[in-house]
Amino acid sequence: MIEIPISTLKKIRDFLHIKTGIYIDDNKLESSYKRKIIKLMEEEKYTDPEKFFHDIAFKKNSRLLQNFIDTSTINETYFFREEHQFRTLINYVLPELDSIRDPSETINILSAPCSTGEEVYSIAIYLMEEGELIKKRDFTLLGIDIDSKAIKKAKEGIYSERSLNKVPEHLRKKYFYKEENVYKVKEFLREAVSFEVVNVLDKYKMKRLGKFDVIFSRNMLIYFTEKDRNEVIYTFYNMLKDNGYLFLGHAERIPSSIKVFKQQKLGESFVYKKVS
Amino acid sequence: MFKKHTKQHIVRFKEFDEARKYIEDNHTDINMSMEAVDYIVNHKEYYYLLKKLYEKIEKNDLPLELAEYILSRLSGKLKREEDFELLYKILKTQNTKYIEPIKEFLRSNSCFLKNFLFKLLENSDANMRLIAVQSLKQCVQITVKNRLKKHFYKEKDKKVLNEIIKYFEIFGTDEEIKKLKNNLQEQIR
Repeated sequence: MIEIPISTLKKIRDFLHIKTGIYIDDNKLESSYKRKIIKLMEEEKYTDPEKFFHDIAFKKNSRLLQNFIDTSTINETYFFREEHQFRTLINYVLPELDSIRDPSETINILSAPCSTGEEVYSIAIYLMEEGELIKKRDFTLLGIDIDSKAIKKAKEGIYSERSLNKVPEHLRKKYFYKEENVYKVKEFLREAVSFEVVNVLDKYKMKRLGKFDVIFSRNMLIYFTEKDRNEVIYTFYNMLKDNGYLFLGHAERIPSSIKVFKQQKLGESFVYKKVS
Repeated sequence: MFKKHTKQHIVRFKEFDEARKYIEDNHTDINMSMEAVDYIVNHKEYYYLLKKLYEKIEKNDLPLELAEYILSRLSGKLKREEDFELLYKILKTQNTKYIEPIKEFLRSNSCFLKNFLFKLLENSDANMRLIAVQSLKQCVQITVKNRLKKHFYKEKDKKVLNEIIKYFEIFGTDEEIKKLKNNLQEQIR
């Protein structure tokens, strides 16, 4: 059994933080995260933690580095993932925006990247279940992704049982048809949202999407270089209306040296508010 | 109710002078100023933008968010010696309001600006050397590690020395860390 000293685990954590912005809490570091790293070391045939760390940091092995980053993140997408953020959206963010925006103004929500659409449909379901906000004003929900296959799948709206694992039975009946072993999003829900193929690094295409009140960008920035990450953060800044909000993945942070966003805790979630 | 998303018309400047106005007068409409920054970057006029950034920082005449935006758009773009000379001048301004965005720019571009940062490491001002080390930490390369190790043994400023040790506490071997700390202790005595 491989044993990783805490000193090496901390170095791995610091390196991950430098590389992706993700910070692994102490309570996860010596438990679940350590197990993931040991598993990766075994798969990559390493027995020496220091050598492993040296290679992921300094050896130009993009496959190893990518595997390390993938191991360190949650890459699966499913309905109601990190649900506390949707609760924050519905209970705090949207009511605030509703109170400050002109009644005739549409509230625009962007999911970037949206992958196969679960996040966008989840937001739509939350809004429909809340019920009052969508009676008061119009909403636009847009999901974008660089992957055209993912966008195609999002538009089709067909998902596995696994993807709906967190969706309670009464909501499955309300928003999905079950066909054999897959779930299909009902037409009225598919009609409520939009999807497009867009690369977030394409500033022109991003600008043409317009201005948004809320942007969800969960577990994407971690895969960028720091330079590209910051560029996208400022693209988001430019695309947000005044007092708009940015949601990142729960382990992601905007560097404190970036002043255009102010971090706030609303409910159980950390969010970033555009400083205007 | 829900509405389908439609693409938006975006602002297009017809010529450089039109964009320039929003850089010269950046207090009227910050959104237009940002569009102007994008226009100027698309036309590769990086030096002009950097020069304006410097002038405005010196006069404290630039909203912080616009300073950050300009720096973000100049990421990966500076290549000429005159760009670096101006970047150094910006660093040297005493205006601390802008120092965090500037440091963030250096950090996020650390590999791209490696040679500039190596030069900064030789600066007579210890604050500059400290900024260099803090930025280079983000560029995880053997050449950086070796350069910092080499620099450690001629550095006299304690803050800079401690910052290099922090780097090695992540990227150094136990032996390297021990050697550096012993050396620091010797210097203090």
